[in-house]
Amino acid sequence: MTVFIIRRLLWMALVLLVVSAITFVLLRAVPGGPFNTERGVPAPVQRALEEKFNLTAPLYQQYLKYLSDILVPHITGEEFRRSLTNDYLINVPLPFLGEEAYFRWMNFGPSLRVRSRTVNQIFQENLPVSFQLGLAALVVAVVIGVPSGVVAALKRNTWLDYASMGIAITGVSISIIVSAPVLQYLFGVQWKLLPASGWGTFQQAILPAFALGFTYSALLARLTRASLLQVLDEDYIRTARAKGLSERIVVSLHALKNALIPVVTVIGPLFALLVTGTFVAETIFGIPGMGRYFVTSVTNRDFTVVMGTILLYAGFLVLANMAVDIVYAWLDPRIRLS
Amino acid sequence: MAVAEGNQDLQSSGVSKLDTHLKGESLWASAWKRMLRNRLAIMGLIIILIAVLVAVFADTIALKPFSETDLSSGDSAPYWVTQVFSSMTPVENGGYVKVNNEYPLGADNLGRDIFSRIVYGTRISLLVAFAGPVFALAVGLAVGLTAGYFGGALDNILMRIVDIMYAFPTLLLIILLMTFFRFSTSTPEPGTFTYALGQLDKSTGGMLFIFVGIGLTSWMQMARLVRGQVLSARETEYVESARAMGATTPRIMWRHILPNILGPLIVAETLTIPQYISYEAFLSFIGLGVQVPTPSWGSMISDGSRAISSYPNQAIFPALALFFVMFAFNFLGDGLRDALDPRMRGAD
Amino acid sequence: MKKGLVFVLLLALFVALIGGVVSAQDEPKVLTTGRQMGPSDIPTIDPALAEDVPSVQVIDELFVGLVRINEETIAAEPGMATSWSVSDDGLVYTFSLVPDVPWVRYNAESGAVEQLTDADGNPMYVTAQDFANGILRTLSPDTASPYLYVYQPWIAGGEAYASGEGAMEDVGIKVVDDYTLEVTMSRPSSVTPLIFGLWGFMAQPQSVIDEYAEFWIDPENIATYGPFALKEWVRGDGGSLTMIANPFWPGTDSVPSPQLDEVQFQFLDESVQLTNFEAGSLDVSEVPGTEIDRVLASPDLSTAYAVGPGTCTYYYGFNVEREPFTDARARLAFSMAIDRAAITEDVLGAGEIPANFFALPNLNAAPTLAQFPEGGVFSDPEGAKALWDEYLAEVGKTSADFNLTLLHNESALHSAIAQAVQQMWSDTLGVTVQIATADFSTYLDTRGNYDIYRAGWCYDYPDAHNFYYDAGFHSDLLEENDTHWSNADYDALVEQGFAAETVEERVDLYAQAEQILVHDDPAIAPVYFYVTDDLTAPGITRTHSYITREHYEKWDINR
Repeated sequence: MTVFIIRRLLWMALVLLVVSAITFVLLRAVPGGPFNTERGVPAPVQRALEEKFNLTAPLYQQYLKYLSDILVPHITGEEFRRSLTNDYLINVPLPFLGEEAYFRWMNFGPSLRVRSRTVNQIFQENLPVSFQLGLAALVVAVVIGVPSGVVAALKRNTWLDYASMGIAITGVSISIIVSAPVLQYLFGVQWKLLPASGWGTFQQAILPAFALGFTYSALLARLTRASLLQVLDEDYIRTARAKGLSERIVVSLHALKNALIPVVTVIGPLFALLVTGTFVAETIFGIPGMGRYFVTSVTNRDFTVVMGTILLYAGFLVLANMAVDIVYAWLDPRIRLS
Repeated sequence: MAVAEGNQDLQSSGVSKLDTHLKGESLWASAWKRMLRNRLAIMGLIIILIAVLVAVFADTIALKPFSETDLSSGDSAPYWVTQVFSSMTPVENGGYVKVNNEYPLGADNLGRDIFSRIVYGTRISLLVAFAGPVFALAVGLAVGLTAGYFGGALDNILMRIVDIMYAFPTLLLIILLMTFFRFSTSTPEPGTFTYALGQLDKSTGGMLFIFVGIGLTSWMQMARLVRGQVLSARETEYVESARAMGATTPRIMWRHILPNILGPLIVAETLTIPQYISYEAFLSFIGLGVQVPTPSWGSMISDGSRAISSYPNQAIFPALALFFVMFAFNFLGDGLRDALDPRMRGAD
Repeated sequence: MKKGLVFVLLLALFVALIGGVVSAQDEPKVLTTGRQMGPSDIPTIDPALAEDVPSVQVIDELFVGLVRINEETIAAEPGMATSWSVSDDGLVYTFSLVPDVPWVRYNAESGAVEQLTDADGNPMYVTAQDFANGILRTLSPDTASPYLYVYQPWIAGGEAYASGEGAMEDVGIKVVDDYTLEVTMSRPSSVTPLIFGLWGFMAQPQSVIDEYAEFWIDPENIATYGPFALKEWVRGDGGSLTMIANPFWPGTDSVPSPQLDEVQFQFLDESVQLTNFEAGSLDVSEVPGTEIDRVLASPDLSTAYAVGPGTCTYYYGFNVEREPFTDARARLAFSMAIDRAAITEDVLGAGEIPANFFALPNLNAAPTLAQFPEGGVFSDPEGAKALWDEYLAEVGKTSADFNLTLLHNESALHSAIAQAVQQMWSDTLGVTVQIATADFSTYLDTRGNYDIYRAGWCYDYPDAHNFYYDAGFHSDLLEENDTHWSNADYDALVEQGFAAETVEERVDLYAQAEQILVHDDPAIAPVYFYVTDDLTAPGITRTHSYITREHYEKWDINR
């Protein structure tokens, strides 16, 4: 297990390296810079800014500097003072080294566009919103998806099965671009039951969570159904039935437990996908999350924010997949990690 | 997006189980028969056929050219629309909506006919529906065939690239790619390569880069699937015997391996089509998709959703069109898979 | 069953996360406003770095310039200077400051605004030195103010210092005593007093800036002295900034002590603002262009709705280096072919004004339509067609020979207007113009290469000079002018207009310059003048600002 995790972590480092290199190249190849304004910045100002943010060095040096700022951890004592170029995402106190000692890691640098903010501060403001939205959507997806998948499997080939699977395919067909304005109109404008946009209250979270989560509830329903059907076919279930256990016990005790393994394993990547895919919901519902900020940053050529976001999200996706592999192995002893 | 990445993996693994069943004509024939019995899939097929007809005969069906503006009837709606959307009170009843029955679904801010724009928008969505798989298939097949057939270090490297691509947050990557393609070719200076590329894209209404963007972010699933299929096909007797008879590698791939893995590929691609359609809608939604005034459902929904409280019809109708087409492709894909392997019904 | 537990946990987490964000406001006289804020965080409240409307709005309430620009009359009134005198040559300005205005900071623990004290415990007052520090910091090349182009030409030695060639000591600023500041200008002008109303020339707390560097603007660090103090700043998109009345502000005729206890700026989309306004949770809201018809048709909303002049002009620039716009007739024909009224009424609809001139009519010394009913450019399809045909005949080409592209930065509004104009050009002149879009950064880098580009100019200080000179059409700024246009007569008129003593003379000279810029040898086609519109909840007494930033110290709530 340990070997597996170490190997996966090394692999992850390589993945992130490639991801960051591709992002860096793409970003710098696009015309436009972070300091562009309508009238244009005076040349001395432009020079001063470029020097301040290390944009005058050769590209590869910029890239290496950027990477090392993120990768190289620091242990700091009393002298540490947060500044634009010195702000870390991960700060762990080290009480055994002294009161003010901290382990600090992941300095994503200053935002080039918002000149008094670091990328970390921007993450701290925007990421929680995207996380909350992603989580809310996941709850919607699981709460609707899993039970209807179970019902469909247990009532196989009855109208209940057909109905829930019909709804599931319909659900898969509803892109958020479709569901968001429709929900907004019905609940916000027509029936005036829920706020049509905004963020901050429970009511305001309901529509975007449904718009984002419903599609995936369909996915979970189909997966649950297929998985449960397969399990119900297995020998040990037949044995349990043969032993005369009631259908209820067979299903709830034996079948569901195993049938939900593949479901659990998609929840990790699904959550990652939801969190990293909140952009449309954020735009339509006016939610101040990281997805929307990312697109604005691409437009503004806020290089550090764009790089940081992609790296963080990529890391998140890789970790989520890794967690799944581990959980999978833990739940299902037949699978060995190698 | 409509189909999760986790889902793609499951899909491919599900489909890969089919290969052993795919032998000869009789299988296709019986699959077709099974397919005909699946009413929902047939319904999907019919909707798609209708959409194709609409796209082909858009010039005849549409009431007005898609870019024709009539500023004085901007934001007007026919009477029935004001009845269905009860918040849209007509001016006559003390409201704000200009009633104009010339527009069957209403007019947008610039007085363009929403119905006609939806009709023309069908072209964009269907183009993506058919070209998306072609691009993904082209890259995916090349990578998958190479990796699967040659194996070894090459296989290893190619599959690691696939893994890395999977680590990219797809939406963010596609935004970045589109920004890159579109704006690094946005030069009006003729004679350069980027200019030519930009012009080519412009002449397709911005579709070229959309295809490329989709192709570059969606080929991995196909590559894995193809590789898996090739690996198992490579060991079969008929490939062995072909090799023994001195057939060249490309010939073996083309004549022996490809036909045998076609079924699962078709199913997988059909099931991914809704995803391509929604990618296009998404890109147009954020302004990186088709170029104005080419109508795309995504950009219509984007424009319309800004006016959702006042003129819901401007977003809802294109949204319904998008829904129906994605719905049709999903049912068709589902039906195809069931037909090719009845055991797999609803497998994901 | 594990499954149930997982659900309960997820649900609990969900409720906790979402529920934790709820906030409530029911203190007396707290005004909530989304006006001019937009959905994004305020970029900065550092007077030296600010260049956008939301930042300047907040700065103008936390700090006060030597001169205060009256938001309704755009006249220069006394701000921190009780009075000023000008030397006979018009170069040296001597300001006398309001005495004993303390630097303050909000203390979150005590919940009160407190005076800052020096090492000996004495209150720190805003002095002439603080103004000198502020001006010099803004001009400093190290500060790299993006707004430098506005500031640097005015004060003697400022441009040299800003470009790194001159020394700080040579900048014409002299601290005579604690409450007297002497500033030497680089040239005499009647515009000068307005410049001292700009945020970059406000007092800045050097000791605080030295101590906290970039983070000096955080609520726990900042020092201010204006009618309001900074109470709270929830950063990030969708956040808010709250100002609290500063009890130490002495209250002057032009900057009275606030009646409101607090003003909260909320960073929200226009559509969210409107939703919240209708739900009663926002006092002042902007109106999305798409919702105006509905707002005007609603009895409640239409009484709350008000429209005032805006601060920007929307225009198209012609690239005079590319065919056919090398010829003035072609440019004028394209300009005259634009049906401006159709755009303002049918595409926009908030009461925007068709622009016959480049400069906004409500600016100091700007010519207006009322004074010059024949001046500038007007929509005239027949005239446009005739001109265009004349041009075509002369060069021996047809409309189909031209493959033109218009560039605009991405925005639904620009796209709608561009498509409407595209149709007008096609209908009137028979020319098919392609539309290209780019994100803002690319657009700024590349627009000088296109045939036509969309642009807008918003004034920095309310004088016509800012349009005619700073916008880039004077040949001093040719390098930054993306139309590549220059005209010696225009240059001369703009310079004379700047130097002329009376407003009447200036208006007259500018009208002639304007005639060249938009008609005789046009560089641009002005399309419309922006307006600002908003909704105000009942029970609020307010002023309506013409300068984008509101002066909330003049507002009140009586519910």
